[in-house]
Amino acid sequence: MSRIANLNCPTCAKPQKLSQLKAQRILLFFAFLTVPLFLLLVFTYLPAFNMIRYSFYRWDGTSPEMTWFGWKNYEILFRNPQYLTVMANCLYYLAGSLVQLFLALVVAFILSFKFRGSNFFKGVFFFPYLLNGVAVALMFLFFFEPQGTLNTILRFLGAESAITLWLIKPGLNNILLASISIWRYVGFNIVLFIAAIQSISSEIYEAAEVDGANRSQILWFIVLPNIKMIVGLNLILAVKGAISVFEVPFLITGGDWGTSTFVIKALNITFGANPQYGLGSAFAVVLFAMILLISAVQKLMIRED
Amino acid sequence: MKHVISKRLILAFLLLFLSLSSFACAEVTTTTLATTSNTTDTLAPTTSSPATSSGTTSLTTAATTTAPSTMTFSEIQATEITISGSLYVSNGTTTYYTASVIPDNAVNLAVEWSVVSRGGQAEIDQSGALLATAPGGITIIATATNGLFAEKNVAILSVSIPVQSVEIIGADQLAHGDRANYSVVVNPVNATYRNVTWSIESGEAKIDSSGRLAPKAGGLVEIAVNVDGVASTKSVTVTPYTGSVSNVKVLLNRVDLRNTVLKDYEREFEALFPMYNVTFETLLDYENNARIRLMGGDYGDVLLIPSSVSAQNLSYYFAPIGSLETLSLSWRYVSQKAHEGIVYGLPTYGNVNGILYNKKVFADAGITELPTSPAAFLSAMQTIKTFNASKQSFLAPFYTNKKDSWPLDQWQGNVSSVSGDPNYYYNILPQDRNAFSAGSPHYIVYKLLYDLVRQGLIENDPSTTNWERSKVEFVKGNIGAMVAGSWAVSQFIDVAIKVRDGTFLYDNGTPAEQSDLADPANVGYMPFPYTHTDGKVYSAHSPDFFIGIKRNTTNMQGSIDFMMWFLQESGYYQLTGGIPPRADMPFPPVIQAFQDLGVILFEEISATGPMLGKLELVESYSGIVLWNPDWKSSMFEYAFYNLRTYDRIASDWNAMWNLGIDLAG
Repeated sequence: MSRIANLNCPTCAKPQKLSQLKAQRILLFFAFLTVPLFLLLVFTYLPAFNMIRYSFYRWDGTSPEMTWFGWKNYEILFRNPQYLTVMANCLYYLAGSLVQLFLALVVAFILSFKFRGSNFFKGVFFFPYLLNGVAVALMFLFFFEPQGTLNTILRFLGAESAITLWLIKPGLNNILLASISIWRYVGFNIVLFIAAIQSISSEIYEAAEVDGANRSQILWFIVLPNIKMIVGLNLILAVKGAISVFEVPFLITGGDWGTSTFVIKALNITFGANPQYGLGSAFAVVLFAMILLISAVQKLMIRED
Repeated sequence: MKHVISKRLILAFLLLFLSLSSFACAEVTTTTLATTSNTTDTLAPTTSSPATSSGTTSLTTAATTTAPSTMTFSEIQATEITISGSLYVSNGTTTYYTASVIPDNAVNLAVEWSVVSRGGQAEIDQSGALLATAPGGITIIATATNGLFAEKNVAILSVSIPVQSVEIIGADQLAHGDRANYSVVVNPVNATYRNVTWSIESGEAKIDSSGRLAPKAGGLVEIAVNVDGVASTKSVTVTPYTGSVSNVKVLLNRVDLRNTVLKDYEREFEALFPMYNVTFETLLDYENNARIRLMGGDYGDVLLIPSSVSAQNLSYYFAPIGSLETLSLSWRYVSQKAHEGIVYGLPTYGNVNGILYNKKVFADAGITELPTSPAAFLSAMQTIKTFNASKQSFLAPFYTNKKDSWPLDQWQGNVSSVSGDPNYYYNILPQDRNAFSAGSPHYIVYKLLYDLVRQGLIENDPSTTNWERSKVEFVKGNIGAMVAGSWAVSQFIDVAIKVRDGTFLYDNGTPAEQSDLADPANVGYMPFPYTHTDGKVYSAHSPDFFIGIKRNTTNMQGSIDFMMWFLQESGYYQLTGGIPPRADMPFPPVIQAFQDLGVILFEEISATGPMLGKLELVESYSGIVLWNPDWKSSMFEYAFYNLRTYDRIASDWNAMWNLGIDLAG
């Protein structure tokens, strides 16, 4: 700091050197970075670090002491069949996200051609992504309720035999919940894909057309290889989303009727009767590790190509 | 050269940054996590013993960062007892005596009545009613639970001498905020009067049955007494309160009472105790929100104790109220909020567990005797279902309210009842390797739920039930029965009255349709249908929330005064229809009805010795948290879609519970 003060000192005869100017710039550069870095450290890395630390303790949320627990939280998590089995429900969402990516790719490809109303359709597909998760959940809750929209329509159409308790039927309810996720997030994928498709040089298309390639051939042999990076990114995001799915099932079924997910389980453990913050943290760490692992695997696969 | 300088600069800056951030981290660490080494507390040796092992860290909250002061042991003992009532009684009649215990905030206001013969013969019951059976002298003794007692010598005469006139004796002047005892002098002196009734003629005050006057405002108060029909009055001048006013903040769970009953409580308490200003704060989802408040250190002066605070940690947040030895004589359930012989909370009220049923629905279907076995209950439900098959508005013989989750937890209260053993829940269950095997209390209780679901005796659509609506449908006779603690009875009676009068409003403000079918007399309550091997039906009663005082509160006196007033005088436990907190207060009618049925009531014995904290440990290791609805909910779903047999589910539970026992060691 004294160095800066010296710079403004009128009695200091020495002219500023170029290196001093550069130093000043660097100082400024770090000064501006300090605040965001500090916030990042305090509100992201420190809690994350503490989460890992807590997972080795036993703590009920009120006791003044946390008891050292070693790997026992992890032992409970992996030995008790009821915890990891809920991971099976993620498969519904995983399958859903693959469907979602495929749909997004096809729609993005179609929308990337200039035609009347293409922007309107972009808006239509993107709109659900802008909706609040709670609003989406409420909307579909009313839609699938026994006296809700869907059953009313079916009754109106005379299809009484098709009427069922949609949200509590085992298996079916998970498929419906996964479809809600598709509906909600497909627009986001479409936008990413369109952006990627439009960055492909038009010369390549022209060349392909000259060679007589049809639309599906263009999609598979030109578009897809060129947007491989974006597909990979979307895949990572989709898998992450599938593993940590929470909002939609929690708000619609509360995790009942076989729709519980890993995060809902963790929430119940951490904040239910007899709260266990340590075990809850262990859940979060395991989830984190899984996502890390999947990301790494996907990174490697993309790099190999 | 340039490079060197800039590199040095970067290095210097990075060092500065690191030291800054580590300083920041250190600060965060000291406020949230610190190793205990300085807290010494004479009254709570275990929780705050200096942590020596590196594995133990301590979470400091505001409670300790504001210098842990030495705890003041706030047990206030009874210091004086006065017995009022006639000195002469007529043989063969019943005469009523009252005892007044001072101070009013003593923890042992309950008295035990006894009588000693000095030639005469008489019996006295625990309400102070004396039945004279032979002429002569007797001594009536009222003993407080701390051993303090008062005696009154009474002569039993063979004749009856009527009262001709009475006079009230006592202070002419009283300060607002104080209380004073008044008594009567009768003429003739040897009159054999039986009953003394005190009342307030005019002015703001209240007077109890023993003649203890509590003014509610300054001014003139006229008290009246009626002794077997002969009346008298006395004027008392109440000097207004001019001293300072201190604050008492109270945290409660009854959001529904915030603008009604709690406002009345506030007025009443401040009128009786002008030196305090009481504020209520009601919290939704009390358990979780209050827990967060505890951690933050801002949790009022008097509050309901979140049930997740384990016994070992009570001293950390709450002021000691008294010794378990003394308090357990006067108060129910206190052992559950005690640690190492010191009590940190008093119960607000208690509940029995059982099943609500609509008497008319049962009677109409021809069920005249209450079922006492799960099989009989199922067949009764089946009968009701068949009987109402053609009734359009009928919802279900049994309503589970599964959607709301917590109603499934209401089943858990019956586990102790079925065990019939006060020790079972806290002292046997944590090491019971057959906790869920066939014949175990858990197995029996949840099998009934499974069977009800499997046999289609419940609501058609368990995914969209609603507690408020179920109350209305129940009182209208569209639901036969539902499981709930006895706390629900007064709520249902209230709903029945409102629906009958057409004044019932749902949560969202829409009114329920008026119905003449609603009748409070139809709200019935029965014990869980299980007859123990000895041929008797048992029912456990257990406490609702306990109330405690914040440790290090700045207003200890006000907190004690409020707590004692709230528990004993406010009428809160009557409002809930629950079991009164004080051991000498009689059971409410709903529970008396249980006793009339021959049901044996018992109180659970809290965990002792090695079992302390064991149940919570096994729960968390096994993943079966007994009061969490998740595992009951899954069973319900398996039953609803017939995906698994009950025995398969129960054996899975048992395996998990055993895993919990193994891991807990």
